[in-house]
Amino acid sequence: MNPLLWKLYRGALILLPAAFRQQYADQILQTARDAAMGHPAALLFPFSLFSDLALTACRENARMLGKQISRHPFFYQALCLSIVAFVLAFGGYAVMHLTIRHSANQPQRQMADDAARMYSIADRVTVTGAPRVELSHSLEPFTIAYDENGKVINSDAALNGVVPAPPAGVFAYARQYGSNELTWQPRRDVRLAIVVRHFTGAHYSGFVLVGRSLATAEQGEMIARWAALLGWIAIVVLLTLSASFFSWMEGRQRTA
Amino acid sequence: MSEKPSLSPAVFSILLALVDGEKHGYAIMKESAAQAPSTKMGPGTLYGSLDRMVADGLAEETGTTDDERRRYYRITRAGREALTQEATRLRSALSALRRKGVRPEVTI
Repeated sequence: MNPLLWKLYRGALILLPAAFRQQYADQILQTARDAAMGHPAALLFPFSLFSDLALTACRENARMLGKQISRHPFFYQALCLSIVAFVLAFGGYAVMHLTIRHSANQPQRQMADDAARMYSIADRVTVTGAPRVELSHSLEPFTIAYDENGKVINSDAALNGVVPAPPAGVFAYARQYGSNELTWQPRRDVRLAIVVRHFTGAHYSGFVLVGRSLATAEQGEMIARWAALLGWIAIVVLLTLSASFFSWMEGRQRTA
Repeated sequence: MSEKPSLSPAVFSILLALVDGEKHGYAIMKESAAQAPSTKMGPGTLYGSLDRMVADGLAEETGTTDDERRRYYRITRAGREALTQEATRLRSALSALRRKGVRPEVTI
């Protein structure tokens, strides 16, 4: 067999559990060398050698794991239960996150429908003076109307005195599908749940954007995230304590 | 003699190889391949099985060659009993097969 393959085979012995490797690695190598002398020209010999090693690694590691489990059954049960608790806690958090984020789009949906209907039948739009909602800190819902080119028609909100515009792709999507719902971040520290509706009327056509700060929803999400994490940690601590207690009890029963 | 679970093909062929005297790994592998070519085993399978057999008391190590490159194994009394029991089990299975009209291509 090729010297490189021998090196590779010797290196692959690391896949075997340490105790088994320590006891048999030299013997395995010697027996493989003896077998190679017996099959000098066999093309499939390296393949059979490596596949045998792969199977042995799986078998012996499973056997070693089985031995460890039988030595510390309570800790393995605790580990399995911790994994189940992790899936449940963070699955619960994921559901809560989706629910909170989904509900953050209300009442924007209804407001956007109403505003789109109003703009599509309007003859003239009167600009309502200075924007009343400051996006950097207000929690109030706001409405901005844009024409087909993304130019502001009317707005009751601004960010530091300027009416922001979302990326052009947001309008393109709303134009194609009639509506778009997303999280918009006009500035690093400002996150908004927005609903964009496309409207077409006799005098105006364009987009209505209704949004609201995500600050409240994100607070709720943070509470849910910490509740899931702390709940999970508490379960792990309880399981570890129970496992230690039952192991100790078992040890005492054995010595008695 | 109490009834024990049947032996795996690898363990059976290793015991069969060891029944006429102690052998080292490659000699066991070679004899197993000659006796039952269908249960060809590699060095990993061989030493995994030997490790279990030593733990179960079916075989034992007897020492190494002078250069310590080859380790020798021999069958124990429990190993012989297990082998005999397995042979009896196989013979009954063979008889049952024959009674049912199945004739495997074997010669005993």
